[in-house]
Amino acid sequence: MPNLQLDEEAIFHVARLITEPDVRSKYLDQICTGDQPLRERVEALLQVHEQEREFLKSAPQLAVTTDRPALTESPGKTIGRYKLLQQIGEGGFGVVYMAEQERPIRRKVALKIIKPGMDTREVIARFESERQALALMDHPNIARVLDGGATDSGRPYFVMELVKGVPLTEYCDQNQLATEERLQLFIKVCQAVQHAHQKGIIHRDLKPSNILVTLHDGQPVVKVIDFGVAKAINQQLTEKTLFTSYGQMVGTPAYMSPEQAEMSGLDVDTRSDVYSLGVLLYELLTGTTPLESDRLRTAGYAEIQRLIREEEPPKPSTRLSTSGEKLTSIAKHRGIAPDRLQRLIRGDLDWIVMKALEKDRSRRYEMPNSLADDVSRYLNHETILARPVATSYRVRKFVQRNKLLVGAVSAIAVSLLLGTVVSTGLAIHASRKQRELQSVLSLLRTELLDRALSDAFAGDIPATEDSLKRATDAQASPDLIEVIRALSLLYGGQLSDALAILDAAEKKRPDDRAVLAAACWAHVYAGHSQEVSVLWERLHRIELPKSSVRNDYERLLVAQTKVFGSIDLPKLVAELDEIIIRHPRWGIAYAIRSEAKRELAKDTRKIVYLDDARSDSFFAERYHPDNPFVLATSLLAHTTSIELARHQNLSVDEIQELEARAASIAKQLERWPTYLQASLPRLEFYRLSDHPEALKMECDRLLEKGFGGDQSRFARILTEEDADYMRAALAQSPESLAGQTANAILDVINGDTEAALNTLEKMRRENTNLNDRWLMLDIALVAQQPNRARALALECLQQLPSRDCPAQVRNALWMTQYYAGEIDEEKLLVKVGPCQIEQSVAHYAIGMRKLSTARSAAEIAEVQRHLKLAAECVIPGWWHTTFAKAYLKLIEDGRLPPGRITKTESSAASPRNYGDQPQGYRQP
Amino acid sequence: MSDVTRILSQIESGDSAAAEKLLPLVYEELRKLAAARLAQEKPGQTLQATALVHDAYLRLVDQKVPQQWDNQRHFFAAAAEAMRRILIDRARQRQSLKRGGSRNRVDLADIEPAVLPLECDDLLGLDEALTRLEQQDPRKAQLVKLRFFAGLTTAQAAQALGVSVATADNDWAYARSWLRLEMGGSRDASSRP
Repeated sequence: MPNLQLDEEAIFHVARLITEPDVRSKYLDQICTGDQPLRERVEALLQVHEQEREFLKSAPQLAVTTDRPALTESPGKTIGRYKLLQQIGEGGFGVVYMAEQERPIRRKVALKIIKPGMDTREVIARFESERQALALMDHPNIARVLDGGATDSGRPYFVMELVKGVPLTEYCDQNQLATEERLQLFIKVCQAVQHAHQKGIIHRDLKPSNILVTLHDGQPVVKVIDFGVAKAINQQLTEKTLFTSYGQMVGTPAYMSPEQAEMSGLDVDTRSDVYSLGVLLYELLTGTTPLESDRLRTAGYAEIQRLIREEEPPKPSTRLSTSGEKLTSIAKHRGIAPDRLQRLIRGDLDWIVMKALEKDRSRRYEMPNSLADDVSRYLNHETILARPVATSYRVRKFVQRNKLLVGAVSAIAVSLLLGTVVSTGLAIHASRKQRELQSVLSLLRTELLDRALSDAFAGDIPATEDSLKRATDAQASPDLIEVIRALSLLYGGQLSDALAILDAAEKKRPDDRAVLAAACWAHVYAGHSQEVSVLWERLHRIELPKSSVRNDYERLLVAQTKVFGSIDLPKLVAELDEIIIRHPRWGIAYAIRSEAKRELAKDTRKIVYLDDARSDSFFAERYHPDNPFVLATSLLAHTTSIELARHQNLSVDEIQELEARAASIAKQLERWPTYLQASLPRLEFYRLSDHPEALKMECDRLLEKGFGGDQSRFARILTEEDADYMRAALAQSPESLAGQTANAILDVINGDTEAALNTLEKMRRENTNLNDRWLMLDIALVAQQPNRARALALECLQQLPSRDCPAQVRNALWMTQYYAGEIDEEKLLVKVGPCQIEQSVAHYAIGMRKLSTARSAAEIAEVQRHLKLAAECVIPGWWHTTFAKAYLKLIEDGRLPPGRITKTESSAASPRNYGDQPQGYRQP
Repeated sequence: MSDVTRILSQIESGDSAAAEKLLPLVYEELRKLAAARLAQEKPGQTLQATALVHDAYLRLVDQKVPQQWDNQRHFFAAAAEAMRRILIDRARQRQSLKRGGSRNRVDLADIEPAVLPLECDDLLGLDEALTRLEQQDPRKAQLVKLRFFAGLTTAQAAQALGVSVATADNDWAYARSWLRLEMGGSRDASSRP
């Protein structure tokens, strides 16, 4: 059984994506029919996958096992005035004991002994310098720091009020506190930290293990511990703190502010605590820290520094939406349904957290109390101050202030401006001014490129050129400008010009992701599957460089191409979320996210994603009101919503409302009759709303433009019921592949199989392109030449990549493998995956292959069954459903399979095993 | 320029013999680092193997010379293998100690590897399973080594192996389950990677 493993792995991958136990079980029943060991094996694999999540999760550990000289401090010993009673905790920096103080009063305290390796004198000196201030702190939510000194063995120690409590996050989860209750406790923490700040004490190490909750008369009371300790031991993010004791998570970098991550360690103020509070709030809301501890654990030291300083975390609601299965338990800990939790946090709480987490501390809340106040405002349903997010606000302000400049900037103007400033001779002033101008210039570039990009997506070539010219003057990257220019040509309908630019750029800069993404997209338009799959694979191999404005354009273009491949959509949506957080005014990004959400809805059959998709296209329209790309996206979001809504029997009112909105968008789009990107959405809309004339017109437009290459022409010809129209369409390009294919199939239908096969042979000699071969496959199958079809499929396979190709090409690969006889029907259904669309593709292939050998009524019924399954798919935009419908109609009309009519007249003429000899049945 | 940096650029320029020099260097450094770091700890304390690998990287590879990922890739492949050997050597030694073997090495003798929540014996079991996986499906085995022993992220490991992140994710999921079953005794005679 040489293929056993491959199947096991493939089945495992499909099954692990099915979360519903019933569905999965049914799937396994179907796939593993008669192979009980295989099924058990897959179930065992799945069980490990799901039940033993810890396996190989944490890195291997090295541990000290033998005893070395014991530490001198241990229970029973006395340190200063304190008698150690028992060890109660162990942190990164040391061991904490419960100790008893005898004089002047008898009480129990917590005594923390710092690990060896610090300069005790320095630690004590720093502690002493702050001692006065620490003594002044008097707040019910702060554990008092009582004393400090050095042990006999020369190690620093601190004495604190004894708090018997559990870390805040743990307490909240254990007691399933609702978000509101968590926020109430969080406000207390802020107030405590504020009090310390007023006494001049910065905590510097706020994290859940330093914020304990004890119960007082049954009520939770927050206690912040360790004030003054971090400063005394001068905690910094160093190699040492990270790696020496990483097992115990010393000074976990997850809560560290960007300025703390800088090595200097000098420049830390109260806003650093605000940042850590922001991390804490994030964790209270989502159950994870903004930089996830898993990631920090595996990153190197320099990488951790970079992450803290540069990486923008996803909004809390975004983190929740991408937390997958964990979301259920996160929500459970908060006593709320998962979807409600997301909704609760989206919006105000997102803004509050993100403001506290600003990398630039001047944009954070000034002090803990202002953070607490905003949280209170949220709880009281008042307008919060954190909104709108600072970046969009700043950009908007900038544009308002510099409208003229944005409109008329040129390199000359800027250099003149720079020159003027420098020549005034105010050197210090000038350099500041110059820096300001540089940043203005950079904002301007962003602004102009953004405009150019939206014009390019709209296919407005002159407007794009205009923006690009000014972007060039503002010293934008020529590489990026080239890509945007090519995109404008692509969307403007000058496909071959766009391809020429992109192919040349791709040769010059084979690692430029923006170029690869745009080229990939252009080849999608041209219907060159082979090029698409090659570019796609390369695109996936190239590491995404560090974040910058330029790279966000790249990210956006790559994301758009990935939407087409519909691989890993949740991750893609998260990526787009991040882009939108950084660039809240990039209308095009909203449009692309709308597309991604729509794909996600198609994949998961969940209509909620379509609500998101429509809301995103609404935002996109707000930023680019007259942009056909945006309108087209919006129309698609609406047509898919209508289809799904009808399918899922939503209320008539809702459907009618959707239809009305779709109609109004379609009407707006009529202003761009030749805009290619709008054709498909319009086509879908006309099909859905039953407008045959408009549909026909749109089809003609698509035909003219050659969208999707010859396959679209072919489908168009086949679906056309009116034979005269079909002839007319063929007359336009009888020599094109579509024309030849359609003619050949018409020949088969009309009984002249021989002529069809002659055409096929001619086409086969003249065309080796992959797409063309797929067209020819249909001729061979319809003409009932299974061996010929198999040979063609084998030829196709040689041209197909074997792995990591985009979804559409991947499906083609499996279909071709099936046509070539390399996999059977069942395996095909497994390989294409469980989604309806993929199953539909598979059924098309199965139906067509069965058609190639169908003789008896039962066999023909089987063909019809599969083609119906293929045609039933409610998802628009896939040509095979159109093909399937066309062939079904031909079968219903008795025109297919070719021998059928003759057979009913002379059954002797159709032996079952008549192979591939052209039969030349003719219709009576 | 450090030795390792030089070797990495030799590998990069096509000197295949240079690769052989890398492993012993990295192995030695990791051993030394582990011993030094753990000397500061008290019994029961643990130290992450992968943190050591990253630490070794910082020490061995010149941070001032801009590093191509290709170079780093070779380093982490060697480091993954070195860390695996160290852990396995230690696990074997611990096992022979338990069986009453004599203890005559002092170098790393105080160190016990552990794969939480696995025990020492499990680590040997894992290694055996990994060796079998290596014979059958080297790419998946290498992925496990890079992720588990060198602490690379999926994205980094994917790139080092020249596969997409999605493929690496799939491979990881399958390899993890496969290894676990393999360690748990073969439930099915036909279990092959």
